[in-house]
Amino acid sequence: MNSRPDVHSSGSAGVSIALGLATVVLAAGALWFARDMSMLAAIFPRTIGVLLLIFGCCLVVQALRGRERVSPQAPGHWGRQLALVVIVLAWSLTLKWLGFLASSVLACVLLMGIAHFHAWSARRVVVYLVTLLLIIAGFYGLFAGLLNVPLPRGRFWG
Amino acid sequence: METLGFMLAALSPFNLLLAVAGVAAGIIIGSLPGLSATMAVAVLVPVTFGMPTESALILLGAIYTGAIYGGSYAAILVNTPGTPSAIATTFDGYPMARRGDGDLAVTLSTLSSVIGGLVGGLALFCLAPLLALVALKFGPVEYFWLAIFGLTLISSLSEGSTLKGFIGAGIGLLLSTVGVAVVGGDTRYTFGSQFLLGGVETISALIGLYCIPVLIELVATPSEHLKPPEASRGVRFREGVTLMFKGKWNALRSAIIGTIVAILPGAGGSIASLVSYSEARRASPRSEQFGKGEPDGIIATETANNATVGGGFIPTFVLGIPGTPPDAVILGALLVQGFRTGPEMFTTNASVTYTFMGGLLVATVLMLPIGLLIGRYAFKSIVSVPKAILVPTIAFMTVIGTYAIRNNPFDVVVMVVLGVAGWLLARWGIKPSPIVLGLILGPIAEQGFVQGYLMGNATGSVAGVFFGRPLSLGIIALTVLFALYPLWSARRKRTHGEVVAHEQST
Repeated sequence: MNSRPDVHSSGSAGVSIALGLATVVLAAGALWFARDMSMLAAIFPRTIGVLLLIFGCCLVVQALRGRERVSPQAPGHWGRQLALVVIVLAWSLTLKWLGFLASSVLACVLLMGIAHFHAWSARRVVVYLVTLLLIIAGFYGLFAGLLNVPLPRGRFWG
Repeated sequence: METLGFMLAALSPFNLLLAVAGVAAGIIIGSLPGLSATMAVAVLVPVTFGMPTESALILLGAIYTGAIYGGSYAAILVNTPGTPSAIATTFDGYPMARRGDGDLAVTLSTLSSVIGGLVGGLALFCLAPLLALVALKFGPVEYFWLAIFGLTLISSLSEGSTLKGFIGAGIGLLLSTVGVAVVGGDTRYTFGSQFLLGGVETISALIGLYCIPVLIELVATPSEHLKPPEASRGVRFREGVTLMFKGKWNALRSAIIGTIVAILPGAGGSIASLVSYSEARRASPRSEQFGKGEPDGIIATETANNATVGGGFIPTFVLGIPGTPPDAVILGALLVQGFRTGPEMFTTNASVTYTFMGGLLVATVLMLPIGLLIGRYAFKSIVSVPKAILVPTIAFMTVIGTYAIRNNPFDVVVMVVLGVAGWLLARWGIKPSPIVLGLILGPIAEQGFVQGYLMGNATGSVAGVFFGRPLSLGIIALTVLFALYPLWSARRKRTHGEVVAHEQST
């Protein structure tokens, strides 16, 4: 990661236009859904909605006038990044019915697989798996045992 | 003389042991994303019930101060603030760690936290009753203007496009309105979902917006997470002290800002560190280096957030109004022990109050050796852990930490969704900091605005309520100054550049 300093840089004019339009849509949505609220509850979201509408339009205009800085995005392993997003999202959605421990072990093992870029050896697999399971067990024990956090057990395990 | 005797009572072996244990536990808890200082203090309150009151307070104060400092470890080493008050520490801490100066960043954070903690503690000792009176002058309208003042920091926090910074803040403000309205009780933007009734939990959002993008970037390339140090350099204490000495005015200013912000109930360490970061950047001759690994950035944020510990106790003790969320928990513990806050804290119960103040100062000083020791191993271990272990470990801490806030699996889903959205927005130029700032300041601004509006309607002059009080006008003047300063500064630089170019051509 240390070789990728510009990974969060501003996008191209096209991206800025899209972002501006998305802001306008978000603002319009905020204003639309605020129409049924009482006056007191609506005053703040409406004000923000109007401001976002103005900012979105300004961004589109600035992008069209070529005021937006264009920086190339750093290359990366899109497949791995997408896989990470899918795994973490699936993990969050299955916490309740698969159980905290089972879903976490499964997700962490999969994440270990996508975060490793070199060849696997049998010894490395065992060492990494044992380390990972010990870390999970340690934190699980801390939260469930010491801090009394009621972590979901899952519907499959009774 | 009697006061000094009470303070020296903090040096009893039992109190010293509690201070050491509290600081160490606080550092470890604070360094884990999702486990905030509030949670650290809340979890350990029952342990203190059987203790003498002053010892109980020393333990809780030590945990609190340790947790606020511990939040900087995760901010520096994995770009994820361990506690909300360490948000601004990520700005320069993580770039320093990436270029191989993580050890120096941790040492700077330790030194700054100790100095900030001492200034806040001394303010508590010397100025408590006086400063608490200032906090009483703040009404809903002043809080509204304070939140607006906080939003002007966006121009300092948004790198590149200020407009995109304001859009980010707007998104954060809008997110803060989800759920039951703070005034009126309407349900807003829940789309019929009962899970959204409680709103977007700030710490869940914070974890998602900072942690998930880090994970996504970690799996993007096989390169190392942090640049390992070329040789063993210890904790680079002397280098850290030299940098601290150079940034002494920055540290002092930030500590004062931290103390003052903490006196205002509800403001907290996150706002204190953001305000002091913005001020440090504005005042620095190297302002363009901020956000790229500037040591002064860490000094500002870490001094300010630890100064809030002592500062927050001022309204807690004098007025019974907690300055920060952990103070609210400690106030509860005090009430359970049978103590009433107010003037009697400094008369009838002076022995307890001053022994606690002494204990807080001792705990802050102890943070130096304990912090340097833990920090050294934290940096070494994070650098040496392979990505295949680091990624699932951070992900696991993220998920379990988010779940534990409200024992709600839906918070984890919200955290992940916001994290992915935050990663996409960051690639398009909208950084997470303005979004988080909007999310934190939204409820303060809305409550102040609506209450002020109702007061104005009742008295027949809305404008008079919002613009008629000297304190409000002072904050408005500061807001205008802060909003216009970047424009004035940019214009001045442009004019200066044109003059230099003209002189060179002639």
